[in-house]
Amino acid sequence: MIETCTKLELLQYLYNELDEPTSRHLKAEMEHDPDLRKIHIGQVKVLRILDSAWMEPRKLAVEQILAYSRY
Amino acid sequence: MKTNYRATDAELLNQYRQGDERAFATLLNRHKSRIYTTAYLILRDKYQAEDVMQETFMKVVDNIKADRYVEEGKFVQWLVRVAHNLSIDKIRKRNKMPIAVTEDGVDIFNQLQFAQKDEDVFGGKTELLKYIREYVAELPEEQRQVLLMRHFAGMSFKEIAEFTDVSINTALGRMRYALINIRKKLSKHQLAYDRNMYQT
Repeated sequence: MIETCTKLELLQYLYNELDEPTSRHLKAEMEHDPDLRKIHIGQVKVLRILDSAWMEPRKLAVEQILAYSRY
Repeated sequence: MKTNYRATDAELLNQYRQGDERAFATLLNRHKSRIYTTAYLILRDKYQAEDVMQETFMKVVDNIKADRYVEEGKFVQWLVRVAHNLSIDKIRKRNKMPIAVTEDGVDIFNQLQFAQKDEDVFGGKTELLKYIREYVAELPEEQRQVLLMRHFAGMSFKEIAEFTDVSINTALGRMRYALINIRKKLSKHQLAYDRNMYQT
């Protein structure tokens, strides 16, 4: 059974927020624990899909800010 | 003066303070998408999201020109906080609800109902994109807030914990459930997702 704290550490690992020793330990755990590896892969997939939700504002809206910023 | 596109936010702010408008343009290009996306995923209205983005960056201009901005190396966090608060204000106005906190000090916005989705904004986008944005917007407020701040605004879990006044494990737990909920919705709609690849 995977500890909840390990599941939470996986999220920090995804975002490069773990220190190097903990990252190494987690990587080693994933190599030996297929369930943990599946959770990680699943999270990566969701985050990649989320990346598709990025949006760009209209050029006009940006130009209006630039006009406002002039000295 | 030549703007260095690899300059830090703090360096660009300082250059803009000294009159370099290109430094501000670099800052704007660097962060406009994260602010616009964050605002959109809260408001679900592209025009209001643009308003929030504009108001947020105009606050930057005002603060720099009035020499009110204090550089603490947390420009992005400051930007996101402004955009988040402006977005919540717009929802409050939209819903015509009073600003109030509960007896426990919990901000009432956590209980606000989200506005009806803007059907028009998805025009021309793929079905997946449409669903993803809906799924994020439909998450419980606490989960959505962490997801937006971590994935789209680029704040660390530690910064999010400080911003939302919870422990880092609570912030991580909310993020975990946000991802689980989105995964479930994706599976439900059978959108190119292998449900066997994810465990809760």
